[in-house]
This record gives sequence, C-alpha cells and structure tokens, in this order.
Amino acid sequence: MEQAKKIFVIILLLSINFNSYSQVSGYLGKKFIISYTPEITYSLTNPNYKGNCVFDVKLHPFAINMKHNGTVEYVVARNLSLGVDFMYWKTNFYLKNNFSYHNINDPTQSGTFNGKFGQQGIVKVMGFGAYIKIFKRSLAPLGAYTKIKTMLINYSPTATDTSFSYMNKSELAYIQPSKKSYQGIFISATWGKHRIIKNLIVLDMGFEIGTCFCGGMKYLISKNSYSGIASEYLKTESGARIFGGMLINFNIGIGLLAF
Amino acid sequence: MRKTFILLLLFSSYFIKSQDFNNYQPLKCQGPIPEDFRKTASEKFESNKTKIKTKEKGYIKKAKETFILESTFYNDLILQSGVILFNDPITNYINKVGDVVLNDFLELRKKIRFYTMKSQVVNAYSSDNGIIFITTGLISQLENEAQLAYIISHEVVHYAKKHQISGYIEKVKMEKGTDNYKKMSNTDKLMLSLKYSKNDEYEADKLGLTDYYKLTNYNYKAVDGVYDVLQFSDLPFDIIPFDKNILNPEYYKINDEYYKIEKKEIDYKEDKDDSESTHPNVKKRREAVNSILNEFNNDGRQFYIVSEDEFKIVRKISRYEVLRQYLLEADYASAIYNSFLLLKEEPESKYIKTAIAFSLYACCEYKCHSTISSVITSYTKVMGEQSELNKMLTKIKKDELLCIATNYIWKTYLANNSDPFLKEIAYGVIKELPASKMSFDDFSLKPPDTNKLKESDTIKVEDDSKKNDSKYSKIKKNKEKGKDKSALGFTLVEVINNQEFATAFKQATESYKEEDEYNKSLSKKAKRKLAKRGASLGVNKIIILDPFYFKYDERKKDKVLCLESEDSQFKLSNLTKESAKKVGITTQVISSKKFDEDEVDLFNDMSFFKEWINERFVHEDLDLISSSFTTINGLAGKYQTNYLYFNGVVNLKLKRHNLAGIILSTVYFPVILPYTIYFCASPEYKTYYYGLLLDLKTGKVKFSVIDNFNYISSNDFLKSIIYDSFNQIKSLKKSK
Repeated sequence: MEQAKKIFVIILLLSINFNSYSQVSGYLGKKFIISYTPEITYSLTNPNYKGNCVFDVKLHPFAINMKHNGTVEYVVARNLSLGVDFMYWKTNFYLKNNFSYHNINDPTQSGTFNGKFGQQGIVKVMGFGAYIKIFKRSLAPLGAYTKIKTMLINYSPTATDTSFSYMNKSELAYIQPSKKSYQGIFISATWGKHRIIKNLIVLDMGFEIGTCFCGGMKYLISKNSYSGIASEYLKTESGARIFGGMLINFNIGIGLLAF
Repeated sequence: MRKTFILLLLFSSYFIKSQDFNNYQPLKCQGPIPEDFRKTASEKFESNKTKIKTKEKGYIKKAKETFILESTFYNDLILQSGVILFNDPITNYINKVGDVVLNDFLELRKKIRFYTMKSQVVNAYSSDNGIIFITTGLISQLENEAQLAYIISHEVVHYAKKHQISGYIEKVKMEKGTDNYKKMSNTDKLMLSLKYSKNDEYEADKLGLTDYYKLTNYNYKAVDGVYDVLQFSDLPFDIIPFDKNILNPEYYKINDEYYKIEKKEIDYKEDKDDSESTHPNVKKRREAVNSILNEFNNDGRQFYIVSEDEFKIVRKISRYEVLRQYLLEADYASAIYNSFLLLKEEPESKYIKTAIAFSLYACCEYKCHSTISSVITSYTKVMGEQSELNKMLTKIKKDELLCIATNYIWKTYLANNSDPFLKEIAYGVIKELPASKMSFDDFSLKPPDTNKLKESDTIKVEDDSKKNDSKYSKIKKNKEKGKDKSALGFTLVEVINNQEFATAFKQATESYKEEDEYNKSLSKKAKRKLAKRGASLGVNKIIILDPFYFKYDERKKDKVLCLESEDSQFKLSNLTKESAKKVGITTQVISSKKFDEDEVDLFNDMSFFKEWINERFVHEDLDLISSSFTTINGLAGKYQTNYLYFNGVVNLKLKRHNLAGIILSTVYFPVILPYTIYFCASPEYKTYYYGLLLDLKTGKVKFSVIDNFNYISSNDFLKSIIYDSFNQIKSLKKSK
C-alpha cells in the first residue's frame, strides 16, 4: 500500500508540473470551475446503498448507484485543465458466505453468519484525487475531453447480521473488521463533454472506465469460496464491490464557472 | 432634401471637373446615404411583402413572398458589398439621363433608383424593387449619351413589367406542374422557361424603344450601337496593337518571339445558338429593333441631351475605374493593356504608369511562385490585340521579367520619389532579385556597345516547333540558355547608377541572406511549439469589418434562411464587439447593417476595406502589396491602427445520410429506439467559424482561426473562440 501511495504522489506532482506559458483564454477569461458531479452506475446485479438492485427478488428497475464528486478545476493551457476531486460513496455489498464471527458488542458471543441478501454489508468510500482533462479540437474548458484521473480511496466496510438477536431482540449484531478503514488506488479514464450556459453554468457529461486496486483480483476468487476471519472477509468483499461499482460510470455534472 | 440634392449636384460637377487623371482618386460615394443602404433586408422585406395581393392563390402568394425575400436579401448583399456607388459623378450623370428618359413618367421616376456598380464587366441589371445597377465597364464602352438612354429605357421596362417576379412565378408553376405544365417533360419546361426569359428581353427592347426612348429626343442611330457594345463587350474599349517599347528598357529589347502569336480573330458571329441562353442572340435582337426603327423619323434627334462633355468625362472616369478594377481583380494583362490605351490620351499620367508598374510587380511575384497562369488568362482565350501581351507575360522567363519590371518600376519611382506606393513597389520588387540568385555584380553599370545589342543577344524564346527535339538536345539547349545572361546584365543600366537603387539592392541581398538563415534555423519542432502556444501579437486597437453570418437548411425548400441570417449577423457583430471589449482591445466596428444617413465616410471606408480584402484573397498565399495601398494606408492612419479583423459564421443544417447503420443497430438493440428516432428526425448540424487579422500595410495574415462544431447550439463555442482570438491578438509574449 505504501508503494501505491508513492505512485499516487508522483502522478499528482507530474500533473501539476505542466508549464502554462501559452495564451490561456479559458472561457471568456474564466478558468476556475467548482462543480458537483454525481457518477451514476445502473445497479443491475449489485445493490445500491438502499440494498436494491434491478434483478433482485423484487424488481427495482430504477435502482442506481450514485457517487458524489466535488471538483475544483483550473484551466492551465489552451487545451488542458487540472483538477482535484473529492468523492463520497456509500453502498451495500453482498455477504453470501457462511462464516464465524464474534459480536463486537459482546466478544464472548460468537455465531455463524448466514446473512440475508443485500442488507448486511455497508461500505463507505471516500476518495481524494487529481485529474487532467485534455480537450480535443476546442479550447478548455469547453467541448469534448478525455480525462485521466487518479484517486486515493479510503473505504470502511461494516456489516450487520439481521438474523441474530442478542440479549434484546431489537438489537442487531455488528460485525466489523479489526482495522476500521482500508486504502486503495483508483485510476480511470473518462470521455466526456463540457457545455457552458449563460457564461456561468458548466454542464458536464461523460462516460468513465476505471479500475480500483483494492480487491479486483480477489473479486474473482472470492465468490462463494472464501473462508477466513470475518474482518478479512469484509475487506475482500467490500473491495470487490468497490472494484465492480467503479468499473463503469456515467457522469452528469453541474458546475460553476467562478472566475 | 431638395437643397441637399442641388448642393450635391453642384458638388459632383465640381468633382468631375476637379478629377485629376494624373493622380486619379478612386470613386467615392457622397452626400446622405440613401434609404436602400440604411434599411435592413428584413425591414425591406416586411414593407415589400405588403404589396402582395391577399386574394391570390396560396402557392402563388407563397412563391411571391419567397421571391421578394430572396431578391431583397441578395440585393442587400450587393448594396453592402462595397462595389456600389451613390451620389458620385457617374451615378449623378446616369440619374440625369434617367430624368430625361422618364421625363413623362414622374411617378415611375420616383420609384426608380440608379446606382453605379464598380465592375469591369459590361452589364446593367434591374431589380424588382426599382433599383437599376449600371457597371463602370458598360459606361466605359459606350459611344454616346443616347446609348446610355436606350439601356436605361430597356431596364425600366424590366422593372415596370415586373419581368423578374413573373418569371419566377412561371418557374414555380412549372415545378408544381400546374396549369399548362402538367404533361410537360423537364426538358420542355426548361426550354419554355428560357423562351419566357428571351421574350422578356424582346419586350424590354421593344417597349424600351417605343414607350420611353421614342418620347425623348435621343437619336435612333445610337440604338444599333448598343448592340455593338453588347456584341464586343469582351474586348477592351479600343483595339490598337500593343506598343512593345513601353516595357522595354533602353538597352534591352524583349524578344518579339515572346509576343508572336497567331492572333485570335475577333468573333463577329452575332448569330450564336441561343437555345440554351436566357437572352436572345444579338443578331435577333438587332433585327427585331431595327424593324421598328425603320418606321421612325430620326430628324432633329440628338446624341447628347444632358451634356457631351460630361459624358466624355464620366466615360473617362469609368475607364480609369475599370483599370482599377482590373488591378483589384488581379487581371494584370488587361490592366497593362488598358493602361496602354489610356496612355494615348494622358501620356504622362502618373496613375497609369503606376498601374503598369504595379502590374509588372505582381506578375513578377506570381512568376517567382510559378503561379502566373492563375492571373494571366491563356492567350488562346483572349481576342484582339491584347492576346500578344498575354502570351508575352506567360512565356517570358522569370529572371527576364524580373529585370524588366525592376527597371520599369524603379524608373517610375525615381521620377516620382515622393510617392509612397511607388516606393513600396520598388522596394518590393528588388527583394526578388537576390531571391532569384541575381547579385548586384551581375548587372552592368554602363550601356553596352549598341552595335552589339542585336536580337541574338537577347534570351532565346522556346520555339514550339522544337518540341520534336530529342531529350538530349533539349538538355544541351537549356544549358546554353543558362549561360546566356549577358544581355540581361544591361536591363538595369538606367537605374543601377542611382545611389538609392544601389543601396536598396545591397540591403535586399543582405536581408535575403538573413531571412534564409533564419528559416533554416527554425526547426519544425519549434514551429509546432509556436503554433500550439498561440499568437501573442500585443495589438491594442483593431478595425472589425462587417461580421458575416449565413444560415442554410438543406432540408427546406428555401434553403437559405435569409431573415435568420441577418438577425444572427447583428448578434455576431455585438458578440464580436463585446468580446474585444472584454479582452481590452479598442475597436471600431464597421457593420454594413448600421449606417446613419450622414455616415457616408464610414460607408466609403467599408467599401475600400472590402475591396482591399477581396484583392487580398485573390492572391491566396502570396503576400503582395495591395493595389489600393495609398487608400488603405490613409485609412490606417485615420483609424490609428494597422490591423483589420474580419470574421464570419456559416451555419448548416444538413440532411442525414447513411442511416442504415443505426437502423440495423436498433434491430439488434431495441433499447436504443428513442435515440434512433431522434437521430433520424434531427438534421446534422455544422457550424463553421472564421476570423482573420490582417496587417493593412503589408496585407499579411497576422492571425487566423478556422474552426467547426457539430452541435445544435454553438453559441458557447462561438463565444469561446472569438474571445480566444482577441486574447491572442491582445496578449504579449510571456517568457517561460
């Protein structure tokens, strides 16, 4: 993981070191954009934060997963802009395997997880990254672009066994990994388009493909074959969920062309 | 208003008398700007539309509306193009003749407006809203005032009988297949349409004669002469063998072989096949008119009613104006030949000699870039005496033309060394000598032994008969030619001893070496980097010339969206002005759509700038000194800037083609059906933007941008690109 951090810092520094001595016009002289961009993935088989997905026991045709992105972007060259990105994402993940655990409310209690579909795993993901946008055939920050983003993500999975009752029937048992949060690196490429309305509002539409180095490979091997301690299991399953959830996204953002 | 008109007439007569043909000044509009130039096309359309009768059939009413819209829009383009003159000496004279012709038709006279069109083409044209354009080319060829009166009579009939609009309605009926056109083939419809057009011409000839011309006291003999003017309109205003000595240096003679040509006979065939023409041939028209004329009594009728002197001066001005047009249109052989004709009357005219000097300079530049054929019409296509000159300019070798031109230009300049235009040309041509590997030492300072200067000493002309020579003999001959520079060495004897010439030659040699080294040192990588970074010109003040907007919808029947185009033109003009202001550039916007009655100077400036730009683009990549250098230099001083920016947008809505791919995809992925429907129903959008910043003094393109976007609305892109253009123009280079 230390190595991943180093790579992230190097990429960030390389991005910032662009020389900007060219005639940078921005849009009517404005170069600074603050924007909010929800990244949307259609929840076909993976649950969203409500635990719904399209092909569930009950059909949820409009189940979507939404990641919230806040960005600050600055035009540094005629066809380049640099930005920093903060992401927050909360979603559910499946806990399919049966495994032993200790109740964190009472470590003397232990049980075997046989959780129900969808409701049990929650992962909160926060990310901080930097990106570069290369505008093709038009002047930044307008028109079609390709965005390369790298992001350091921090994720905290938790889970609840709804089938277990402890002491009082209303209380649920919580399962948590021994370490509360984990880190990973996310790298993506986006193909999108900026339009500007009334010289002030920036509309951003795009399609993103990314990969997350926090369980991708394990995702492939974890399916119904995992056996181990609970915390490792949560880490692996949540990582796999993040990998799947961040693989393909559609962005529709709105921003303010500040100055 | 009447007082203004009288004052204007007095002023114009003063101008006519004061026109100095030695230092000819281009024609300008004068006095208050007429309403035709001040009203927008939309306003004119709205007012003309009300004239359509409401009871007419639906499609005829629609066709009339379309015609009025399109003709108003296109006439407006002509009026604002910079080639139309009002209240100038020629137009005033035409108006006077028009007054005579329409003396008995006061109501009709009020509706008709005459304007002069600056063009070398022999033409007159009547629009459906009462404007009659007469070209300077036509005036320059006329023999007398009565001929002009007959031409006016003819054009008045076109207007009075509404020939244009009725022709258009018939065309619409044919297309719709209504009335008698139901069972006609397309070829028959076309032939019938041409027949209608010819009938209109016959009617205009006939009624022009009987209804208008006959009521004046103009001589009937002039009418036949008008058909001569039409028949030989391709020829210059006179046919005299070109005097080859005009261009020869004192100690050098251009080989006669260069001129030698089997002259193309003047085409006297007046009975040409006119079956596919809109106008009947001259013979038929002449016969039709003569059959009427035979019945008329010509006693006491005159060739001049207004004034013979005024006619002759106006015609002379027109001939000078035609010469100017040839220079602007880069027809240098015609310019030299017309100059030669005009020199007969004004042998010492500085203007004419400058015109020859400029033409030679321009020919040298084109010759040096091996593109002479783009400005000199092939001698095989030129009739009359001028064809010899066309052949010489095409066939003469680059070095030889350069030396001859340098001699002529410098001789003219040294005789008028206070003229900045001549100075510019002189220093311009001398730059080409070192570029063509000629050094100062290649030229003799002394005249040759005259006994030795014979035809054999001049460079040989390639004889077409030698085309059968073998490859090896041709190589040998070319080698021989390369050595034979002795005769050329005497071309500059008349000017080479002048101190200024010698200094200019040496400076040109030095700067050529420096430029050459600089170009070699500038690597491709550095050039690419420069292009990527954008320009940094540091320009604070510019003239913005008439931003242009054109909207076109391929899916509609009336494809050109006239009204929308004009509206967008206003918006583009404002946007351009605002963007420049935002960047901090001071601008003077000259828009053809915003003239007040008293802004005639601004109107003239617009005309001169447009002429200058048109000439600039005739030269394409060549950076030539402009033939209107003096005028433009004056304007640069007036507006205190050397930079002119002009921009435009072309917005297209096109039919979508090749829909098979998306339809096939929809069959396999029905989920994309809504998108497919939208895609098929919507047009393909294309918006092109261009913007150029030109240096008024050198004609060089200092900055250019050409871009296109394929979106429904492209306002944000337009704003972005216009702002960026001005930012690059304004900003100064920053060091890294």
